[in-house]
Amino acid sequence: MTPLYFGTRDRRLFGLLREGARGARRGAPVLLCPPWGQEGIRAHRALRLVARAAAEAGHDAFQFDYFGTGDSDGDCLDGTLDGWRTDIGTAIEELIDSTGARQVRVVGLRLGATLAAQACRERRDEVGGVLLWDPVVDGAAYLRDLCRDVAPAQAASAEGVLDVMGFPLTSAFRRSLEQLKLDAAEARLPGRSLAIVSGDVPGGLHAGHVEPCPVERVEDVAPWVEDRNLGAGAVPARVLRRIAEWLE
Amino acid sequence: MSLGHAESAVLLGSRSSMLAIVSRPARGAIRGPVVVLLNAGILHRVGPNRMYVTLARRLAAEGRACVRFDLSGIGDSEARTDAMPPIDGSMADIREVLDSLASKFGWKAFVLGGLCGGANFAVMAAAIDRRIVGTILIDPSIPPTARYQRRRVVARMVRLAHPRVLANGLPKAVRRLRARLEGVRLDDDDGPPIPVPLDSPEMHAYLRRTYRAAVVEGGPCLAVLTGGLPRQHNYSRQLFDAFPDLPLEARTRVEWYPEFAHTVDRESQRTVLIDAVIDWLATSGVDERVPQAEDGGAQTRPPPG
Repeated sequence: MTPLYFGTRDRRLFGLLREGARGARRGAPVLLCPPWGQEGIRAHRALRLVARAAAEAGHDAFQFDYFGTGDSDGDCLDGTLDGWRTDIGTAIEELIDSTGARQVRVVGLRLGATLAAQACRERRDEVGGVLLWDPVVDGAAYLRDLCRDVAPAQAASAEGVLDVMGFPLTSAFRRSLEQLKLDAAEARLPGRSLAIVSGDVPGGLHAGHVEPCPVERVEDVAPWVEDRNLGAGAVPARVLRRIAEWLE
Repeated sequence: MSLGHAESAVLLGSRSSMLAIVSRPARGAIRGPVVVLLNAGILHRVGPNRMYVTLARRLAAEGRACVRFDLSGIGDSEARTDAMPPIDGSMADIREVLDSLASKFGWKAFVLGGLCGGANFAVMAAAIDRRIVGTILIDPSIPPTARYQRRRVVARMVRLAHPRVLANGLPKAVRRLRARLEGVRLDDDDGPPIPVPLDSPEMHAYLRRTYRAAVVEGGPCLAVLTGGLPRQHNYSRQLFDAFPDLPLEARTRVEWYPEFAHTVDRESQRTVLIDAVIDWLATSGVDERVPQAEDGGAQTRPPPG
């Protein structure tokens, strides 16, 4: 594996490239777009397992952190949805430059899936397919779920920074989440795209929703939900197998 | 004046298998020992609520170096390929990381820190590696004391006496009593279960030996205790009272934050904690424990013995 920094001097991003196993069939490299905040921390090991499985199957796999998250530069308050869509585009370019591939596949989880769908709609030449893993479809519902433990009076406050599941959220960021929608007409995802639904998820994709691509239901644990007070989420073995099949 | 920070990512260990992020001041030389942060349980190197990232960058802005890495099999580090038991493997990981940092950067003195399991590993490693000149322990394992037990009983009685608890909690209290009689542990609002059983004589003796070697015979310690582990500790002096024959108090500063959750889930609280760490580094004497450079530089020698 190769840790690296990429992006610009003012927007330095951290990434980790796992090279595809030699001898395995070399498929398109894979970019992983993580969830935000506490969901991202809990789901880290599940995404690592996706990256590792992809590498073992011969795909170069690239995990990265959005600006203001993880090991990338920036404070938590520096993050914006527009900025993170741009970061996904930067990561796609970095992955293509690093591997020499013509196209990449993208796997996004929760908010990462939504942002990936929106970021990839203008990159159909570079992106051969997007897998939306329990995407956030309705930003307002997602925000309500994030804020479920925040005191109602505090949550209703128009201004100020809220601590939401351990992460500070500005009022501007909350407004952008409230306006976030995953719209099929807008998504225009590449033909090999797929959405996976692993449970009843607030703000998530349900049967009957407007679908940007085929939707499959895979009953499994949610890796962004804390497992047994460990601080991390459980490993969704069935979903991981389905993702591996999709990559092939 | 802030020096800003510069970060690099490196692979450490005998197999270059452990991912680490090194934070250093953007300008000027490093001062004091290098702070090394250990995983909080199975969370990766960013720490709970990205606290380790914020701490590392604040330390770098203060002129210090900080390394946060993933132990083998955690985060993005590869698992060990030998058959070592887990704790032995983690101690070996720490030793290899310090060896790598010495080899790559010439660093010779370290302060080890972490939260929960990371705190425990820090004090265990400090007990056996003299390169570790200080420890930062956030919610380490502390055996129960008589005063802890009394406070726990009182807290439960106060909670049970609350009208809402009486109305809703009586069935729950009966269920808890039944479970306790049957020896079954329940998750409840006493917070997360403690990671290791601390009330055995063997565990007490082990921790006593560890704290003696790491702190009394070793270097200064900052113990940060939150109110988020009521099953383990519930007052500021519990570490001292648990080992009354050890002169820990002279070498240990305790910061007691009863209103903080175990993972310090409010940014304002993380700021308070990080301020305390920076102040302790500046005032505890760990800076004087950095070995003198071979070129006769200004760093002082560590005390003999």
